[in-house]
Amino acid sequence: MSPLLEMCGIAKEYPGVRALADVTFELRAGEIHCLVGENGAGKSTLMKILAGALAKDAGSIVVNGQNVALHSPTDAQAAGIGIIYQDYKLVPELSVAENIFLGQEPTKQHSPFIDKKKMHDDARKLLAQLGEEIPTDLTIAMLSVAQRQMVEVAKALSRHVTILAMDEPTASLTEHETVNLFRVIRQLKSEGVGIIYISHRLEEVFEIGDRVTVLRDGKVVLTTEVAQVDKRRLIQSMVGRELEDEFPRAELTRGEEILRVEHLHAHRLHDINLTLYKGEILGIAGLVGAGRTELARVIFGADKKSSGRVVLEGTEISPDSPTDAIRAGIGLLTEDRNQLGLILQMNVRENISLASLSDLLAGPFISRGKEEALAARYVSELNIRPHDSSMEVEKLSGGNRQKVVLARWLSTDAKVLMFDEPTAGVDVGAKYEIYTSINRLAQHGIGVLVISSDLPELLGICNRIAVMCEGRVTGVLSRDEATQEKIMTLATMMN
Amino acid sequence: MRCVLSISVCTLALLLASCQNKEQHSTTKTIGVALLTRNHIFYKDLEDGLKEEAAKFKYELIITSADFDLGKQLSQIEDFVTRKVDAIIVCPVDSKGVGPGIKKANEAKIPVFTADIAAQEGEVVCHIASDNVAGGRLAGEYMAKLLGGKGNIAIINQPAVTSVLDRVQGFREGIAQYPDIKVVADVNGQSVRDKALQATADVLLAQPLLDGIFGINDDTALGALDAAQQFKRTHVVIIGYDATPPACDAIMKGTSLKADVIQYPTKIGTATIESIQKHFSGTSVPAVIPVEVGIIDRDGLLKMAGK
Amino acid sequence: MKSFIPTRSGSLPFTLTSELGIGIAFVVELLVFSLLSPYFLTTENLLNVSLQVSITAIIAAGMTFVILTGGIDLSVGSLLALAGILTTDVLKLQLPIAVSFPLAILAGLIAGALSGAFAGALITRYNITPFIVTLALMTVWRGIAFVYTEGRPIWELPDVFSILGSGRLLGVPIPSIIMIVVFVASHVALTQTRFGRHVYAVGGNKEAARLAGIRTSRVFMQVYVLCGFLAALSGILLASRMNSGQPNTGLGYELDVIAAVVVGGTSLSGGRGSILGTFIGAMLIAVLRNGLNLLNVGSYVQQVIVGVVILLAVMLDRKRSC
Repeated sequence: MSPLLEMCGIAKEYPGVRALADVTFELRAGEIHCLVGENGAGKSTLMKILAGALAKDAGSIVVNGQNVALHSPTDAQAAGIGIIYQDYKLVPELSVAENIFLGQEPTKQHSPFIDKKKMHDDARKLLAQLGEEIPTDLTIAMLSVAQRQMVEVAKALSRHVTILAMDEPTASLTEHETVNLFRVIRQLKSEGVGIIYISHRLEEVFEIGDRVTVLRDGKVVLTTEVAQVDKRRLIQSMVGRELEDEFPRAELTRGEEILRVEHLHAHRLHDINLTLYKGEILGIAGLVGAGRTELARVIFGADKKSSGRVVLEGTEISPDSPTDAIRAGIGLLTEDRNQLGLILQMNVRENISLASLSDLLAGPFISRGKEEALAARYVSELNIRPHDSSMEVEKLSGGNRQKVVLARWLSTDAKVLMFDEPTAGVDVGAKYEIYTSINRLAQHGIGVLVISSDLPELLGICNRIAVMCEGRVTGVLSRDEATQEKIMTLATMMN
Repeated sequence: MRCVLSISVCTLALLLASCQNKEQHSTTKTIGVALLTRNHIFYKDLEDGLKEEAAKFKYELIITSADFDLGKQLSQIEDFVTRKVDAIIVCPVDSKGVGPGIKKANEAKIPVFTADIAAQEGEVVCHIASDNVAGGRLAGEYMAKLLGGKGNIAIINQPAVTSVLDRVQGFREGIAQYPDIKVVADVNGQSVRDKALQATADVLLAQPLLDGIFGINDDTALGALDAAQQFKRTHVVIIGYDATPPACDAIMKGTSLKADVIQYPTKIGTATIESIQKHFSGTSVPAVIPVEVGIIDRDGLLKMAGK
Repeated sequence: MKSFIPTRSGSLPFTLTSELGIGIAFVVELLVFSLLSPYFLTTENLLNVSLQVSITAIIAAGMTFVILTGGIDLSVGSLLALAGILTTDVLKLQLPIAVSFPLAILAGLIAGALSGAFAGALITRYNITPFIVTLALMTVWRGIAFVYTEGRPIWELPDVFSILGSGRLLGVPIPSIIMIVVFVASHVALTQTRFGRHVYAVGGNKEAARLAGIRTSRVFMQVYVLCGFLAALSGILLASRMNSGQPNTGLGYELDVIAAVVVGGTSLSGGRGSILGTFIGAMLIAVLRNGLNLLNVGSYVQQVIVGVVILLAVMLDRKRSC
């Protein structure tokens, strides 16, 4: 039996960068084929070519034994290929049903009018197949991340896909939601759909993958049955060297108190009390919607508090804007680096220097020399690839983008730095580099707060972990006493 | 804050409205006036003529301006029809385009009079306007006199307006009898001073041997004068049209603006009301009433000032 | 290993490519007109073009800042008329010219800056889109210009005033010199200062810029004030060229200005573009109009050609940036 999809000798070159070279990838019907590799290894490029969003320079694509030319997303759709991107392609203002049938709305016979009843019925049926009960008239903006993903899957199903590629589908999901997603993926598999699963979480590869292909620097370095590899071998092929440990070890000594939050109330936050010490990494755990991001934003002055106190080094502060917070010495590395972190049109240098321009002035002008030096320092220190600070960040991969935002905050004189999901969608190698930077910050006496949905990560790098649930802090655990079970118990502790 | 804002806006609107109301007093007949614009001096004078004469007969005038917008003018005429005014005066934005509005008035049996610019469709009782062809002819003849019957001329035009087309036609007739006078450029100055300035500047550069310029109104002529002065081409003589105060001032000062066709917009206004009065009283009115024009130069202005 | 390519000092790297496209188009245009008209490539004509373009180009410099933040300012044409009127009206006050002259200029410029501040305040405080705010102000300022003058021009001004718009320094028209100064200053402000960087950041991603510590409201305020100020400056120069204050000047200028900025490669959605691009864009359109006039091309045909060229220039630019 011929495979469902064969991509042979695919090559793609950007000006100055070879993104893909002679890549061969095969997918069978009813198979889950994982695609892993560091950021910038070429996974996204390969997916864009499959989606018809990007033209390949060489190679052939064969679907069901037929050679196909994918010049546009419409061609890909016609070939039965569906792609679910990391940043979903849904229209937030439209309803669930409207999104699912976008571009193929059912009409009443021989009329230009949309058959709304049929559209909602069909949408409901599709979602039911996935075991979901999302009201089809809600707008996408009102849905949780996990629900949006289910809408994406339903949208793909409505287009009768036989090949479904998913890019980092669990990046923003909680454990529970991930379990549900896997159930759906297995169901699709049993119906004969071939699934390309891209993830940085290697545990997931072992949990649901049949086969795995590793990309490194635009080349395939390994394709094998999942049963025949272990995690160590996989990491080794991804980074091209042995990695000692997933988390760098660092000796941290807790200093005096630097930040204290007392009886803080705000939108979706109730009576928060927390203390952060110098040289400490404090983790914040909790389910999506527990109020972790909200807490960081209020401390940072991005949102308003309704009552309570924030005390920095013994002095009460009440920042009205991020500008004030930064002046006081607080930094926030936001989640969703593309929407809230980076200015995509600017280059690496300009993104790095954005929050510390006042230190780079020569008279009224920005000193080009100082700025270049600052950027060059972080590009090499954080290993931002390519090593070119005049590169537009738009052309950078996810992990490198995150390092750019990290560099921005490292270059301010912050006393307290908060990280919101710092390693979401970041590959193993880059993760390690980010952890190292966070450790170094703490060693320099900076108070570090890390919000993360990745429990092993929190357990691996934090001194203490505060757990939030429904806008309250339900417990604070020390490194020694914390376990995944204890955290989950606190995270689901309803009043 | 929002509340204070909205209250103040409302108060302002009411105040403005009440100011407008003061002009009303008891009248016998109501006349709707749909002007082309209220921003040109010419139309201000025409409006003054209308008001002056209307006051004599105690007519109430409802004056609106289309600001060169045909759609706006049509709806203004429709409003007059709805209000059942006793007569309508129109200065059409577009001679053809105004037709539907006039026909509506015809259906409602409201007499329509056009002033300054004629309409080509619908029934109009009487058209009262300057004789633009005659005015253009006067300008052409005067230009020929200034140049001694020989030279190169540019017209700073604004095609698509009937009255302007008439002026230019007259001007060309005026110089036709002098074969040594050539029109070497005909450009659009859009009838405003800044645009005319720019257009003239280009003409002056393209035509190093230019001797004279005809500006189709005074804003145009003054824009041409600005350009001629900036390029130090003061020997190029300019003739304007309308004889507005700034143009007369330039002529008096001895600049290259030598003469102006003088219209009597106030007379157009008074003549219009007179013909309406005749129509109301049952006297027959001619279909066209031409209002005299003249040409005035520095000597003429000095004489006028002397009187 | 990719070699480190140094970019032109002080400018964002991507502007290079987009300016290149429009730059080539401009050079082609110059060549074509040089061949077609003997009057085109003369010092006098080129100075004439620089004088003609100065009025819209100065505003276009300000508009570039506004459009880079993702905004728009439609009020500039009306503001230009209003500033000209205020300036000429102050000149008519019975004051010694040494007092009234600077006072008049100041009055016009302050009016421009205040209008910008007013627009900025409405946009940031009340969260109304720039398009609507400035559309409203466009009518309001034009209306006030007509009400204030009763539709008649302000004239009989002291002759000194005309020096600003009609005078020359070393043979170069003064408005052209002012235009060059404005462009150099704007280029430096945009590429070398914190303010300029903030303009790009806010236009690129407003929320990310705010979270990076930029006071975004202040940046919006600043660009509208700057744009209003430069529109007023243009208005004063134009009034001086005509030695009168005309309430009907500058009609439709906002579109000419926006066309220059867009042809120059600045993205209407913000975050991308350059002052150099705007300069070439403004020159491209002005040279086109001038060249067509020199060739005696009828005004109707001119409108068609100008529109087509704007489209072509923008298409060329998009193609390059893809």
